[in-house]
Amino acid sequence: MDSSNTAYLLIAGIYYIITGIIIFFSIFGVYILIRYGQTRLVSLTVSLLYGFFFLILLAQSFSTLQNLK
Amino acid sequence: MHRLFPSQLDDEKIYLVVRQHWFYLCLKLIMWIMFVIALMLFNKYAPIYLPGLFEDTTGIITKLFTQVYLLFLTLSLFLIWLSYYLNVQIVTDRRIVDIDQVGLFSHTVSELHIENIEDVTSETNGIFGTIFNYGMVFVQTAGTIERFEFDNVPNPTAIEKLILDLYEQLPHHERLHKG
Repeated sequence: MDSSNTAYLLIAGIYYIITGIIIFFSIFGVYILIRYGQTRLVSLTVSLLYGFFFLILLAQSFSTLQNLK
Repeated sequence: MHRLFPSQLDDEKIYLVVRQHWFYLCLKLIMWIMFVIALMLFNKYAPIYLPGLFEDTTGIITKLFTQVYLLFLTLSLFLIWLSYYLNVQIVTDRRIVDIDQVGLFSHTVSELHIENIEDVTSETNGIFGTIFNYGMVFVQTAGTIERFEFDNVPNPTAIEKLILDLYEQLPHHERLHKG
C-alpha cells in the first residue's frame, strides 16, 4: 500500500491514536506502581516485566504497520 | 527505611497488611481470560470461515488489529493487578490505614487511630464468602458518620479480633471509652 494512499493514512492515524492512549496508560500505570507500591522489589520487577513484553508487542505491531506501506 | 504508608513512624509495628481476597482477583482474571480465548478462537477459526480477512493487504490489517488487541490485553492485565496490589489495608499498633487506588487517577489514604475505635464488626455474606472465608470488616469511630470499611478481605473474623486485641492493649487512659 502506498504511503500517500488515504486508506493507509487513515489506518496509521487510528493505529497511532490507539497505541498512543495505551502507551500513556502504561507509563502512568508504571509511575503509579513505583510511586505507591508497598515493596520496591515487586514494583520494579513487575514494571520491568510489563515493559519488556509491552515493548516487544509494540515493536511487532509497528513492524506490521510498516509492512502496509 | 521503606515505608508502607506516608505517615508511618520508625517504631511503628505493622501487624497486618491485607488486600482483597484472591477470589475477587480470580473473577477479574476469568473475565480477562475470556477476552484472550476470544482472540485465540478468532486466530483458529477466522482463517477457515473468513479466509478473505487473511489475504494480501487485508491480512496485514487483520494482523495489525490482533496485535493492537494483544497490546490492549497486556495493559488490561497490568491494570487489574495494579488495582489489586495498590488497594491495601494496614493494621499497626497505633492505627488502621486504608489505601484506596480507584483507577489510575485517584489515590486515597485514610487513617484511623486505634484509640478512636468505638466498635468493630465483621461480616461474611453469600455462598462464596462462606466457602472461601472472606467478607467485610466495619470499624465504627467516634464522631464520624462514615464507617471505616475493609472490603472483601480474607478471614474477617481474625481481623476483627486483631483490631479489638490492639484496642485492649492500649493503656486505659488512652481509650476513648474507659469502660
